[in-house]
Amino acid sequence: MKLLSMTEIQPWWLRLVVLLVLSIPAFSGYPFDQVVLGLNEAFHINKDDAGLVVLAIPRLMYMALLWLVIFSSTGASKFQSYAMGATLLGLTTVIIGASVRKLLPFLSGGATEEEISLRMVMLFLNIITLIPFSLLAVNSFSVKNLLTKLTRLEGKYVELGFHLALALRVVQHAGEVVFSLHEIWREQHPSKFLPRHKPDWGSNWYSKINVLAWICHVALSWVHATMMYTFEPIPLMVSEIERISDSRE
Amino acid sequence: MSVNVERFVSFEKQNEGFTELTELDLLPTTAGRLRFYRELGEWATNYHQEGSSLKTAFISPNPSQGFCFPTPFDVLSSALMLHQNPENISSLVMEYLSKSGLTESKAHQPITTLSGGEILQLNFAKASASLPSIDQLVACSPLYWLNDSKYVYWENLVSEYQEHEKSIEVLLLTGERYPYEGLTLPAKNNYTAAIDDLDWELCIESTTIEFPETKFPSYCPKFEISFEGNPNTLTLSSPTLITGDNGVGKSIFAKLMAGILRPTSGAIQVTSKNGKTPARMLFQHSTMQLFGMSIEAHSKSIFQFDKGKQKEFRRLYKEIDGDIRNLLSKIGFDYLDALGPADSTSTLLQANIALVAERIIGKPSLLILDEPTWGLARIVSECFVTVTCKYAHKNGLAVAIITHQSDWWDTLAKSEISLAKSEDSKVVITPSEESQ
Repeated sequence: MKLLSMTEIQPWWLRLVVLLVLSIPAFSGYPFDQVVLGLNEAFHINKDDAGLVVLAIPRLMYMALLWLVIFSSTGASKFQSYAMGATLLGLTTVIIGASVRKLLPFLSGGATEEEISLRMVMLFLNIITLIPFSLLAVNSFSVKNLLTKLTRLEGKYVELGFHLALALRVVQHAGEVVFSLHEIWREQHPSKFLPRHKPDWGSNWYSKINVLAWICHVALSWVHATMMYTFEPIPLMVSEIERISDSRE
Repeated sequence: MSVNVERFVSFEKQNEGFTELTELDLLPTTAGRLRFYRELGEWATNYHQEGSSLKTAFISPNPSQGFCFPTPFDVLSSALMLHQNPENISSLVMEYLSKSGLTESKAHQPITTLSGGEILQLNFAKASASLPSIDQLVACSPLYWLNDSKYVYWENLVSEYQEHEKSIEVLLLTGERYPYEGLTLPAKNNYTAAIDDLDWELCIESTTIEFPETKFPSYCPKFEISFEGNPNTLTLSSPTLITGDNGVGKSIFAKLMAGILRPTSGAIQVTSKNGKTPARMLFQHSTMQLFGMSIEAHSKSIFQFDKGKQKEFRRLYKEIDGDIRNLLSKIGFDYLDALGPADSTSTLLQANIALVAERIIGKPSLLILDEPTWGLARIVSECFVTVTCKYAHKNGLAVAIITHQSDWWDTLAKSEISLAKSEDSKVVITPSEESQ
């Protein structure tokens, strides 16, 4: 059975509508609460006793739906890399989030351990659902086709369209940059998660604290490197888009 | 119209020359984050204050940077769109691709999967497709990534521009090959006396690597490359040249030796005085290996948990830098300031020295330099590679150089292996006769 690919939905505005509709639950929370209520009623569970499983069911269903959409559009290979990247980011975020809240309890505003755990699980589900979906959404539109259409239009919003096209292309370019950086990272740190040179980690009983410095370094390095190499070709991209824009006159 | 050729002593000077002619800013990535963000901000502030008077097609110093779109099809169709009827675009794109020596199968592949030579050929196709809508072509090192057999595509592009009376500015690095200039190449230097002998072993079991099909956001069919050693274990003398046609798989082979890519079946193993460890690499566009940091910050971050090696690194960096400067002074190279000041590091050469020093200190079995001459004047790159080999051998590392300019290394290289596609599409790796 051939599943429908997002890029095959035409015209482009219908694709945009489909993507927006699919993202409604993430932004509004609808119908997660309604599903939980329905489950509570069906299984005669008191609202206050609704456990983690019941609360997670609607989000898992939403994740399954979006993952199916993503898989049918991207194919197995790309889906695997999207899902792996999102899982890695999700795990890092919630593990750090939970550790910080354990070490500095005042940050959690009086929430109990159960509430914090629940919040972290929901956060993890949101990350692994929405990051792959955002990547799908951003890459579902061809900047070239958008520019072709814009050159045939007139009016005050056309200029804005060119700016949006550039912004979309820059975001798409970030994905290509991450791929190149990943190869460089693997060459530098073959174990991926640990530094290549780390003998100082075993020198004292307290030197394990270096792990935190390492995590901060990794996060900052990736954020800055991705931003820099994504922005690096912007002057050349702008000149090209400007030439296309000028061709209208 | 004539072709004006200008030569520059360093990558940084070539970038300045490019910006002067095209009015396009190239943002620096080797000087650290702050400088990068500051220059990005300055570009955004000053942008549009001075209107460009010339419409220019260009091949930038880093040729992969000139594309606004992710696939060759999009790049060429957007260039053609400026002066062609949109209905004919698809067939025209294929025509321009084949005119520049690229197959139709490349049309929808992501540009990031193309080899250095193919990216240059795509630049030629784009320059040709934009011809009616531009005034001049500015091309930086337009032959650098090509094998001799592909020079014809550049010659065709030049003829086309000359027929339409458009000007061409070619920006080259000192000593870079450009056979149309009528200049004789500099005499070969022999700096190899100080390099110790070092043998290494390359063992290739029938090795295959498979790249799965990707269909999003652009289409790339599933493909596999098989490497066969002829014979299976090669004993080579370092430094070793790795040569082969554009797109044959030299960089993939290097990444397999370095353990960056894992083979689907078989294995490639490298053994030298330092034992059986994966190779380390200096990539084609090595500046990205700084990961957005300044040279100083990158070195600090790499050795932040190994203070012993950090000291060793500083000493080795100074020794390599000093040796290169001494060698260049002896030869009579007058532009030492173009290498960057010894006390503050920010040039491409200094980035390469730092990356190489860090790799030597780690003592892997092999150091692979993938096109180490990129962005360097010939004489500077010869000194850089020679000094690198000297220190690598001292520390038990063999050196392999991937190159299209094999004649540059005649006096330095002790062995050579060439990669070529056989009739059954396998890549056969054969040592040259002198190496056997």
